[in-house]
Amino acid sequence: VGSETPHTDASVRSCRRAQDPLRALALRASEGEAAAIRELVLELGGPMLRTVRKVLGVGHPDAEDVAQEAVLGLLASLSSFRGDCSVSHFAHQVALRRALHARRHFKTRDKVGDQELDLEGPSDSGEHSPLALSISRERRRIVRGLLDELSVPVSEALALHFMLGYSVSEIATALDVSQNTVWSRLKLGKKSLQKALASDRKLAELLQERPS
Amino acid sequence: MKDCQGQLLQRARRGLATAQEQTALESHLSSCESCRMSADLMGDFDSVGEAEPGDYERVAAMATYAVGVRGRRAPVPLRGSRFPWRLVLAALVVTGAATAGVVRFAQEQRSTIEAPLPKPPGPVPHPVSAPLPASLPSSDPTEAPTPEPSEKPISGARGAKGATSPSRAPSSGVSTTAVSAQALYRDANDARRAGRSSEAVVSYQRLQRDFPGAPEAHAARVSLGGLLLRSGSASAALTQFDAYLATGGGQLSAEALFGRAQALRVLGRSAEEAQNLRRLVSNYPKSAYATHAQRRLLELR
Repeated sequence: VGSETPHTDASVRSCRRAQDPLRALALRASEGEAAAIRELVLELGGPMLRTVRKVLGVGHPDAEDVAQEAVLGLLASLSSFRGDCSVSHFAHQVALRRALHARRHFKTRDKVGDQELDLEGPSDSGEHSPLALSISRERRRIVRGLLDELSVPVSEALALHFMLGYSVSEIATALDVSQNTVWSRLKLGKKSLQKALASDRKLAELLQERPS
Repeated sequence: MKDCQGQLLQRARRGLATAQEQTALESHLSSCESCRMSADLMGDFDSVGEAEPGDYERVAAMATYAVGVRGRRAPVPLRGSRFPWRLVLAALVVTGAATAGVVRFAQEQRSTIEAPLPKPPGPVPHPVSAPLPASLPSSDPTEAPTPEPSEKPISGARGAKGATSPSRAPSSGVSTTAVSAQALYRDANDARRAGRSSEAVVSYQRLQRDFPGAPEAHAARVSLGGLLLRSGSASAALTQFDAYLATGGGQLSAEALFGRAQALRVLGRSAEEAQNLRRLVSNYPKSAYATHAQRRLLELR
């Protein structure tokens, strides 16, 4: 149960390339064609910005700048993009890595930390109670904080899993490591996360308020 | 702590799980702490992955900047160094009066370099750029973005690739009016992105006052409306959104409708807000704001 087929086979990769609607556009953009760059950024810039927000927190004052850097990073790396995943996936990964790097950089400047809790205002969602939203927000804060503490490989695997919803095989492809390595990193990360969640006083208080 | 049902969880999240698989997953989640944590946390981050009002312009600005940096006409070698196109652009932005001189300078330099001069990044994106397929962020990263319904251009200049601002420019040479409108819009957008809201409001208002017929002034209504709304001036914001929509709207119509709904909400005009939200969902069901609108409609029931 749960075993996943690694998609590193050349034929599968070739098929993926052919099926990727953004592949041709990305190739043109990698050659510096202005119209293609514009179109590609218009297509992927939004999702990349939102990925950055997931990592930094909604409302983070540097989210746009980091997203802009990620977009430029994507364009710069397109020429070496092998097509192991879709261009869209690749863009998400670039954005996520750039944002994780930015987090660590900001941390040294004390720009992120507990204060990010305030950056995410109350959602206007009608689906969840205010308590559920608070719990969710607190858990996000804990995850983000942990990403700064864990080693880069583990935090990348964890972020790809929780923030982008990647499967183990997708993470393995993104990080160019084996699925067993991903399992190990996720295991380490989840263990740390469980500890962090269990030891957070504020989250515990919120969870106590939740009706059983 | 092997992530035993990882694949099933992914299938469920992407809407691919059969009813049987869904039942199996739910049963598993009730007994597996690791998978439950994955499901909970993925859900936590899904909820912060939605588009925000103003994202269209943010991404369009990114595209313009990226074209300037990575496009083929980006900086070319000039006597062993790089041509200072950014400085030229800055000069254009800072003062419209300097435009003619800078262009003349650039033309003089052209003969000394092998490649053609780089074009400064085009005008501020919204009035001239191609429509952005505003898509709701998907919990499935592999899902392709959904294009927003295309709309008619608000003027002849709009939608034309590389087109500059209004055709009311003088018949020859660079249009000082057009450049100034673009520069004002760019300055205002820069100020807004940098969080200098008051400065942005002043620039947007000046743009509307000095260039009432320019596409930039039209597009500025949505940005200005958003800023006014956030500053607590809901009535003034509503006026901006209404004005944008009343004159035919444009590529930002979905955003304008969303902003209008927020303004009406602040003003306590619930019936109008609901009507506006229904219009948003009906006209732009695939826009980034449709989900927000539907949720709010549920609240208003």
